Amino acid sequence: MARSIGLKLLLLIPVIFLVSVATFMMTELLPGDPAVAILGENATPERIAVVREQLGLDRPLVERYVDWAGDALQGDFGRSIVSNQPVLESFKERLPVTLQLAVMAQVIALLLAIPFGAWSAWRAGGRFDRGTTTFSFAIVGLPPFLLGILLVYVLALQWQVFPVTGWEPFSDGLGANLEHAFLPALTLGLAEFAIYTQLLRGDMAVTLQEDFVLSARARGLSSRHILLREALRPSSFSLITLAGVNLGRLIGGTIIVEKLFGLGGVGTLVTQAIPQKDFPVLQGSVLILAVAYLLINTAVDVGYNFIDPRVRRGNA
Amino acid sequence: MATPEGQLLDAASVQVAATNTAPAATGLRGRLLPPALVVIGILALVVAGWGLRSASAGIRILVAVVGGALLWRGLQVLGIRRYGPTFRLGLVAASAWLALVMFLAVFADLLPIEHWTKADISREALGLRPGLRWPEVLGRTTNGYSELSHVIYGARTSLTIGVVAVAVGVLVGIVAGLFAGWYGRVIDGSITIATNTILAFPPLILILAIVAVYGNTVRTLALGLAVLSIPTYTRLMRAQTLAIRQREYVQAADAMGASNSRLMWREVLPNAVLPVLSYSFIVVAVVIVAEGSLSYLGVGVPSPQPSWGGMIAAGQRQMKINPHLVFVPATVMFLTVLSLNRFGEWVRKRVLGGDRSEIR
Amino acid sequence: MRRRKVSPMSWRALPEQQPSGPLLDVDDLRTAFRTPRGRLRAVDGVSASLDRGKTLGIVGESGSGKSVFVRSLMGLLPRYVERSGSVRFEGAELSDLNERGLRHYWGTEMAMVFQDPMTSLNPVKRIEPQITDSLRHNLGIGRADARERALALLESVGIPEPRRRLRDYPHQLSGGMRQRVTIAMALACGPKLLLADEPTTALDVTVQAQILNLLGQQQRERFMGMILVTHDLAVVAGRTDEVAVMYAGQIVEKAPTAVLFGNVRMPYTEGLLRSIPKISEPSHTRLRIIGGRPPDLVDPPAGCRFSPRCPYAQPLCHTDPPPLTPAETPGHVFRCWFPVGTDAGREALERNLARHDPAAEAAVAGDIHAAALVDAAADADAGGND
Repeated sequence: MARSIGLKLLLLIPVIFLVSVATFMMTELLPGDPAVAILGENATPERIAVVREQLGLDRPLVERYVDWAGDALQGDFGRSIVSNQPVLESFKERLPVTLQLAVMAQVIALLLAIPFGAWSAWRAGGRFDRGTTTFSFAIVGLPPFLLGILLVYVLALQWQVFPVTGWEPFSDGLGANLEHAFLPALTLGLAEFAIYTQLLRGDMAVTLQEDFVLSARARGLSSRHILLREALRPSSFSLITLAGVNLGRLIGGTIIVEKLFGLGGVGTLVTQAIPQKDFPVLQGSVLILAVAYLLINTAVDVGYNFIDPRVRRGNA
Repeated sequence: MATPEGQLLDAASVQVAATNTAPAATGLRGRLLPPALVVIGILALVVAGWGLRSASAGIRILVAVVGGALLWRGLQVLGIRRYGPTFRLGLVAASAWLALVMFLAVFADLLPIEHWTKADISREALGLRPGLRWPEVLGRTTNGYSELSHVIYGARTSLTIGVVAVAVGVLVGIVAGLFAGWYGRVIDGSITIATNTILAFPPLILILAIVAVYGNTVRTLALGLAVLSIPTYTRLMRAQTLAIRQREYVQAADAMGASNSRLMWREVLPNAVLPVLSYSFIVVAVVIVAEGSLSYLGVGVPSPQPSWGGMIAAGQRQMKINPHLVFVPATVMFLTVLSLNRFGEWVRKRVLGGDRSEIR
Repeated sequence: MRRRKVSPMSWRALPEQQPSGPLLDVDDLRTAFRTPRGRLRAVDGVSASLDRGKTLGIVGESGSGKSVFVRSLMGLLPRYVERSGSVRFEGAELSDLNERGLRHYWGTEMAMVFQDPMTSLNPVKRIEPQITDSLRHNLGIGRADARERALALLESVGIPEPRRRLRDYPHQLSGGMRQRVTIAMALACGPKLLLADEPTTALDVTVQAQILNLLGQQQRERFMGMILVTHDLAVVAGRTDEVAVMYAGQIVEKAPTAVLFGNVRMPYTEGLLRSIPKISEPSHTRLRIIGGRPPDLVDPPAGCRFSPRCPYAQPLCHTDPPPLTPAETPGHVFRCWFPVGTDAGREALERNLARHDPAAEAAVAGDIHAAALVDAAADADAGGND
């Protein structure tokens, strides 16, 4: 097992390298002169020269890459062309919003998935199960921004339970923060909830056939006890793995939700940089996000080997 | 439990009630019930749409949902009676919707609808609600454009992008997967590393990066989204190739002296390709969602050209006053994606489960 | 979560406190499963009764319905199962209770020990919570008290170093110890009725006797009624007061144990007895065999269900199902037209031997070829039914 883990980690290296090359090449692949592409046709020659200097476009390609990669490893991704703020700083400023969103989404998804999935499994084939399954399939078929819009319409505009847009950081009070964060997190979380519920339901329906569940029933234990304290743990391996993988996926998902609700997170950084052609910001963000995504997925992949008791226990 | 009784007990525990039952067709009640359901359902929908204008949105939605459910059930039972127990209303509805959308998208120019550039800027027209009139049965935007036209031309754009992206992805991915699975070693290794590199990027980030570099034109979008779908097809094809390589008829052909390329193209490819292709409808759905998201973010289909995502983004600001601006394109998009998923699942099941015969 | 506050002493009930009447009274219990091929009648009209302090043995081969029967007794069936008939526990009718109602009885009044201790213990939970869960849930006992009781229970079932064992996981215990643990779990809340479904089948032979002795000892100490289900006649000899033999979902013979072994009437029971190898016989003695297979419970044969395999079978047996008739000894009933040990039976057997009926030859001479013929006939029948 150690061998396959080592192999996976080894394969990471060429992939990270290629990812960095691809990200670096973003400016190279711009049709025409990168500086002109960035500044637009009407830029003055002086501005063009300044940008060319900034990007170091006069030096050979490989040299520029090595410099750029070296700087990146130290956390220096350059400065925004628009605001002149170091890219890493902008990133760090906005990271808490995105992180809170992702974590809240996962929590909501899991907190809902457990009761729904467990009860669906307990009464498999019954009305609750079929209703939940239909609901899950509908949600999964709904693109995330549509779901968000629907939620905004119902909960924010019509019933006015939650604010429509905006964000309040923790420093302004937990209540306000949660109020603003709830709808976006719910939007992200519902799609995950649908998948988790179906997964848990499937695994649990299998576990509930085991003899030890029958034995627990025969001892007079309540359905709540059986579902949560007997059957849940053996059924949750796939769920835990998927939740881990999804942390990475949520990175992409927050972009849309941030636009929908007007939140200032990492995703907004990227989407604003595109029309502004703010390439240092773009490259830096893309690199950080891609590497984070890659590392999370690999960690989960490796970590699963430890969670799965069949692997861990060997010949139990 | 290993005993036959034990297996019975196990099976009974997980028994799912038969999903495709229909009440008996006998007796007055049995014969009248389904058509009654259909009629009641339609009535409920009509009432929700026009009769309850003044009621809150919640009530209207509730009535509409109940009406829809009754209509669905009624049609389902009628369908089973007419066509037998294998009738699945979901599949039929999905196929019908897809056929409709494709027809409208392809023949958009020939239809009796306004071109999407045409706007009616008279006061009554701006932001007109959907209603029973032609051609603005779906209403107008606040700039006077016909929602119906924009939805249809937007469908054309989205479907074009979807089909092209998947077609390119299929071509490149299948060839790459075939080579990787067949030749192995270095070629496999490098193709796998390339695939993993593409997969290393969060999907939306990757396409955003491509759009940032090459601009957001329809062509860029289609090719960029193709890049996103290539790894999927590559992996699928590679797995299929690896499996089929071992089959006896391939080895037999090899023993008879067939060349490498002949083996690959004439023996392996035809048998591997069908299961891989069966995913395509689902991939098209994913691409349409991605394109919709991009258009929503403002970096998708460029502005004057209509697209579902763009319409939703534009309408979002006025959702409270003119909800139809958002809900019309949203509903169409939702139904299309849902239908593609449903239809694609059926195709997958048919290909994987039914057709086990292979081409020799 | 329902917690009953029960005084500590009642978990070891005293004989003087019991109500009169049998502990368990089953009347015409029927259980059927809905399968794609039709209704499978796993238990087809079984009646029995049991007093406190007594043991009933139920013997039958796989597919006879014995496991389904004891689960039907408790009501531990899955949801899509049809059940009819009466089950009375201490006079109270159980058959019209739903799961909620039955939960009051499960664990505290009646308990079950299952066949495979590896699968009937939760593999990811330690032993202690598996025992204390029902104590705390059903009897409302606090954690510390529950642990003390769990220790006492483990000691009483003969587990050494109980304190250590409480912290172990099931896979760290041997098979015999695991079964002792499941017995402790079943007995934790002091039930009056214990159902043991093949408790020793999954264990090594050397351990089997220990477990059976343990069950017997606990039953005596706690004055419980016990039903012991097994496919092995040797298990019930000497450990039960009464034995019921089941075949194809019905009871085909029931008698006090000694009577059954000494005065068998039903040919199937005789076949079972004969197939036990005996030390007293010389080596290489051919075992008497019952050829063929148990019948299809969706579409059982007309007439006596054992008739295709019966060495005594006559034309009447194939058409008319025999009812349960009493024998001379009180408490002994059997289901046969030409019973063993009667003139009618002897003549029937001779007639069959004369025409070389394969079932008769297999049973009498241990003839393998004859038994194979009976198997083939059973296969042909099954083919015709499909």
